Amino acid sequence: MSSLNRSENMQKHWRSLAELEATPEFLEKLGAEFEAGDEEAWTTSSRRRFLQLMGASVALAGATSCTWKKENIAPLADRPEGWVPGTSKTYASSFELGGYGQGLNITSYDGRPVKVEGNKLDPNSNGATSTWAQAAMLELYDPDRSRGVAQFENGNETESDWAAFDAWASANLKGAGAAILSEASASPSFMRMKAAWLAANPNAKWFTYEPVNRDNERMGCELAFKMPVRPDYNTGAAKVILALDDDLFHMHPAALRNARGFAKGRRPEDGHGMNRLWSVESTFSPTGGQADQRLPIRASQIGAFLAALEAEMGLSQVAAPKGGFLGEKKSQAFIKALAKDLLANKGAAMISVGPDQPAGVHARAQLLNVALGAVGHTVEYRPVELVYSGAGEIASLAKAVKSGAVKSLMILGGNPVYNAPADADFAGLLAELKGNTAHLSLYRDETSLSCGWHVPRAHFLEAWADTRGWDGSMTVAQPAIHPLWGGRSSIELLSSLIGEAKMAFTLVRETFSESVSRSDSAWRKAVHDGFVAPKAKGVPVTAVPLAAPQFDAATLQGEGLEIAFRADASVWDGRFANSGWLQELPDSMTKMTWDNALMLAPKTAEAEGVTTGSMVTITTAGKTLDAAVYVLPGHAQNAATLTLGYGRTAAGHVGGLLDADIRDLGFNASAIRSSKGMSWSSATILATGATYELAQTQEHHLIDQTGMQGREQRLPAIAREGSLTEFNDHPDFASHRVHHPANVSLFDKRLYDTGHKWGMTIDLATCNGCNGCTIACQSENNIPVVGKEQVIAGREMHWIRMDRYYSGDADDPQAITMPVSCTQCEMAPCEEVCPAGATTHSSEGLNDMAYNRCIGTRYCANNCPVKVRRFNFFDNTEALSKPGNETLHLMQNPEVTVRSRGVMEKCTYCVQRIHTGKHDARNEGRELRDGDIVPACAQVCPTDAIVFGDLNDPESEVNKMYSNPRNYELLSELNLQMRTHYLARIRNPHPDLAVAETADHNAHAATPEVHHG
Amino acid sequence: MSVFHFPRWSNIFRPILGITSIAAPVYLTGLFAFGASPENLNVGYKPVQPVPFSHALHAGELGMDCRYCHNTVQEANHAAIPPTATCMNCHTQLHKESDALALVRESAATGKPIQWVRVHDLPDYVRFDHSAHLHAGISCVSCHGRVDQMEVVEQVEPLSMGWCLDCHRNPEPNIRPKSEVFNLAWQADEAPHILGAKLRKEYGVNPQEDCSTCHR
Repeated sequence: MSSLNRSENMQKHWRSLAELEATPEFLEKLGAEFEAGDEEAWTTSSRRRFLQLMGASVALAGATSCTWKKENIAPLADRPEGWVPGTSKTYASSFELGGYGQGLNITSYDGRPVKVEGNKLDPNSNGATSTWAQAAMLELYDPDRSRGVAQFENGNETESDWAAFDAWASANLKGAGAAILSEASASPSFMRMKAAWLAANPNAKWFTYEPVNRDNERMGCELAFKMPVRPDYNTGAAKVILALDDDLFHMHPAALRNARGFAKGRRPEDGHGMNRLWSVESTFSPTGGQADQRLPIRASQIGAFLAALEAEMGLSQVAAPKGGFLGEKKSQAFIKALAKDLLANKGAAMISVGPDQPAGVHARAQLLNVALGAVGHTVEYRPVELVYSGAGEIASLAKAVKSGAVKSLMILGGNPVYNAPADADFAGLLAELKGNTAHLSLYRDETSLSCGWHVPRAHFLEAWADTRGWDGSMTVAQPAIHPLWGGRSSIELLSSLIGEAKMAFTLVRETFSESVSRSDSAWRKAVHDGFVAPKAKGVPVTAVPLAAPQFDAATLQGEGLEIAFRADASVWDGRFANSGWLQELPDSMTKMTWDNALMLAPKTAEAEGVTTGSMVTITTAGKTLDAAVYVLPGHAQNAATLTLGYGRTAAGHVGGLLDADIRDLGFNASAIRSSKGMSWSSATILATGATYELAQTQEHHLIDQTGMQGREQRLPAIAREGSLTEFNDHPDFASHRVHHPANVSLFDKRLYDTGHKWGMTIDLATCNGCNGCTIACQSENNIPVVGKEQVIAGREMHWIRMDRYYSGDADDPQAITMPVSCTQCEMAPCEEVCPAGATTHSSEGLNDMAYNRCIGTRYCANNCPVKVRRFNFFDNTEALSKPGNETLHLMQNPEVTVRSRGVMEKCTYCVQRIHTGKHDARNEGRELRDGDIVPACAQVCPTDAIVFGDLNDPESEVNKMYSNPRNYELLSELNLQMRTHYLARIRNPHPDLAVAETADHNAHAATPEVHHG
Repeated sequence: MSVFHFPRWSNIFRPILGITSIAAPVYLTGLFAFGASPENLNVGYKPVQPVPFSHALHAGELGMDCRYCHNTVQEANHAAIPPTATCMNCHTQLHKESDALALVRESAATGKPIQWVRVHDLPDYVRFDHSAHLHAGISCVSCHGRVDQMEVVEQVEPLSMGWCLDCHRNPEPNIRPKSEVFNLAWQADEAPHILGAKLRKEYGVNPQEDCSTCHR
C-alpha cells in the first residue's frame, strides 16, 4: 500500500477532455515534460550558422574591453523639487472600457510610467484592476502605435500633420452634412464637448457605436420602471445570487466590486454564513465556475427559464412555460430549489442578467428583484444618460449617408470597419463618403485604412480626462507622460473642431468647476484621490407591470444550433488585439492563448463529428466563417460560443498585419455577427476536414506515465475542496485529505525564528481565476511574451500558472481554479541540484534566483515538484533591442533584471518590493508593518485571495490565514516545507440538490503516526 | 625505408616543451586571476569629465557637505548627480566668465544636461542602495575614498562582489557614528572594530548575504 492515504470521497479531478478520455494524442504527449519539437524549425540559424556566430562572438569578446562599457550620466539641468531620481511616484488616474470607468494608480519612475495598480479609494477598484487595465502599459509603449497624422487615398498612405488635418476639418466637418461616430463614453467632459459640438453645428448628427454594449439592460430597466436607470448590485449583502447568462465577476463594468462583495460570503470561518451563487448560462464562464449550482442552457432559453422560475415562486401571474428543457428532471429540480432559496432570502437575494439577453428578460429580472425586496439591499438603481450604442446606430448612420444627409464623418475611436455588424458593410459606407472621413485612433487600424484621414489619439495615460464608474462616481484621469507621438485625446479633438483648441487639462478642469465644485481645493483633492464619490445613493423606482412573455416550442426544445457572440476575456472587442500580454494570457476556462475558437459542448461536438482543433464552416444568415472548434466541458448543448475581437488584419505586428504579411489570429466573429443577431443567432456548422492547432496551456508539464499516475492520485489532494456541510462537521477537513508517515529529513532543518519569515496564502474559496495576478506579475517582473509556437511547445513564461481543474460529468462539470507560482519551499529540491549556486536560500526563507549566475542546465526545473520554473529558451527580450522598439525600454521595471537567453526564472515573492519596503521602513526609522509589502499578485487580486506577510509577526494577516482551519500545504508528504499555503475551497450546494456525502475520516486511524498536511 | 626521424638538434625543444606545458597554465591562470580582477582593472579608473570639477576644491578646501550636491543620498538608492541648477546657485555670482564653466552655463541656458562620465559603475544586475548604507553608519569614504582630496574623481576600491561581501561579513571596522558619515576625514578614537561592534548593536545593522539582497 502506498504510504499516502487518500480520503475515499474525493472527487476525481481532470484538466482537459483529452486527459479524461485519455486520447492517443494526449498519451503521446506524456513523457515529454518539455514538449519535443524540431529545433531547426524554431530557429532560423542552422547548426553551421550557429558555429559561425559563436566563432565571431569569441573573436569579438577578445576585442572588447574587460571593464564595463563607458556610461554617461545626464542629470536634469533643473530638477523639479521633490523629484528623486531612481525612485517611483504614484499618480491617481482612471481607465475607461466600453463606456465605464475604473480608478487606477500609476507607478512612474523618472517620468516614465511602468506599472498600473488599482485605486484603493475607488470602490469600483478597491486597489484591484482588470487584466485590461494591467495591459495598458504595453499598449502605451506599443511600437505599433500610430506616430502621426496620415492621409489615405486609394489605399496609398501619405504622412501629414495636424495643421493640414485642422484645415480639412474646419472646411468639411461643419454644419449640416457633418457627422461624428464615437465610441461610448461616460466621461462628463466628453458629454460636455459633445453638447458643445452639437450646439456649434445644430444640423450635424452624432452616432455612438459600441460593439459590446449594455443597451439591453438599460432598455429593460426602462420597460420595468419607465425611467432611465441601471442596476448596481451589492453582492456583499446578498445571500443568494442568481446570474443569468452573466459573467458578473469578469465582464461586468463593476466586476471587481461584484467579485469582492461575493468573496465576503465565501469564507465560512468568518461566521457570517455563506452565500450561494446560482448560475444559468450557455457558455462556461469563470462566474459559472464559481457557482454552487449551475445549469447550462442555451442563451435563448434564459427568458423561458426565468418565466418558469417566476411561476414557481408565485410572485406574479405568469403561466409557467412547459416542455422542452423545462420538462427535464434536472431543470425542474433546479428551478424548484432555486425558487425556494430566493424566497427564503427575501431582501438578501439578487438576480443579475447578462448584457446579451434581450430587454424583456432584463425587465422581468429587475421586477423580480423588486418583488424579492432587493432594492436598497442588494440592488440600487442609478440614473443613466440616454445614449444608445447598439447596431441601430450604425443602421441610422447608413441611412443618413445613403440619403445624403451625412457628407463627412469623423470617427472618434472604435474600429467599426472591423466590428460593425456584418450586414452593415461599413467599409462600403465609408467609400460612399469619398475620403471625407477621418478616424481618431491609437493605431492605423482597419477603419483608419478605409478613411481619408487618420489622426493619432493620445493614450489615456497621456492626456487629462475624466469618466464615471458603474456606481456613478467620477474619476479624474491624470496623465503620467507627455504624448509620445503627439496624439490628441477625443475631448481635445472636439475642442479643436469647434475652434477653441483648448488643452485637455483646461477642458477637464472646466467640467469639474461646472459639475462638481468651483473650489480649487476640491479639484486638488479630486486629482490626488482620482475619485469623487457619487452624490446620491440610488434612485427610487416604481415597478410597471408587464405582459407575460410567450415562448414557442422551438425555443424550449432548443432545436438546431445556436451561436452566441461574447466579448473576449483577452481582447474584448478586438481593441486589445495587439497586446502580447493579453493574447498570451491563457483564458480562465479554456486555457487557450493567441486564438479564439468556436466553443461547443462535448455531446454537440460528437454529434457534429468534430473535436478540438477541427475546422468548421459556420453559416448564419447567409454569412460564413471558417473557425476552429474547442470542445468546452459544461457548455450548453446544441449551442456554440464564439468570442469577438480576433481575425484582425490591421492590428499590428502582434495581432495581425496583412500589409506586413503577418497572419491574423483566431477567427473574426464580426464577419457573421449581423445586426439582427448581435447576441446570438441560429447557425449551422459543417466540418471542413481541416485541422488547426490551438495553443492551450492546460496539458503542459505532464511529466510521464508514472508521474501522471502519481498526479492523478494526488490531484484532489492538490486543489482541495469540500462542501459547507463537510466544513461544518470538520472545519479542518482539508488538512486531513492526505495522511502520511512523519517526514524525516536527511538535512538539518534551518530555523527562521529571527528576522523576517515571508509566507503567502492563496484562498481557493475566493479565487475566481480572473488572471489578474498572472498579468500583474508579468508587468511587475518584466516577463517576456513568447508567441503561439512557443506556447504550443510548452515554453510560456508566466510565473503564475492559473490551473483550472474540472470534476464530475463532462457535460456539466464543476471547475476550480488555482494559481500556482513558486511556493518558496524551505527544503527546496531545485537548490540541491543547481551546479552553479544560482538558486539558493535566503535568510528570510526565500528561494532566491541570481540570474547572472544561471548557466541554464534546467536541472532545477526538472526537480521542481510544482513546475513553476520558467526557462528562456530564446532571447525573448530580443524585441527590446530592435530599432523602432525603443519605447519598450521605457516599460521595463528598473527594479527587476531583464533576463536573457539561457536563464531560468521564477516567482520571487516580488523580492524587489520586499527590499524596497524594508529600506523605506529603515530610512524612516520604524519597524516594518504588516501590509507594507504587497507583491504585485496580491495587490491586483480583487477578492484578496492572496495574502502575503511575515510569519514571524504573530499579528500578521498571513499568520491568521495559516491558522485558518482550511489551510493546507501542497504535497506535504514530500517534506518541502512550502511557504505558500492554500486554503481549501468550500462549495455551498443547495441541500435539495446536493449529492449525499459520506463521512471523511476513514483513513484517519490507518497509521498510528500521522502528520496532517 | 623513408621513415621520418626528427633530427638530433630538435631535441632541444623537449625541455622547452616540458617547461611550457607547466608554465603556460600557470601564466594564463595568473594573467586572468590577477590581470582581469576588478582590483587591477577598475581601481584607478579616472576618466576625464566634460567639466573639470574639483572635489578637492569644493568638498575639501571650501568644506561643502557632500549632500549639498548629492542631496538624495539619504533617501534613495541613487546619490544623484546634481542638476546644473545646483552649480548655478553659486556660479551666477562666482567665476561668471570662467572658461571651465562654459559648458555649465550652456546647460543652464539651454536646459540640456551635462554628459558626466560615470566613474563608479556596478553591473546592471546589481542593485546598490546608498541610503541603506548611510543609515547603517557606513561613510562615503569606505567605498569612494577621500573624494575631498581628489582633483579628478577616481575609483579607489574594486567594487567587486567579493569586496562587497568582505564588508557584509565583517562590517564593524566600517561602521561609524551616523553624525560622522559625511566627515571623510574622521578617525575613530578607539579601535574601529570595537566602536563598530558597539554601533552595530545600537543601529541594528544586520548586513545580508542573500543573493536577492543585490540581485533581483
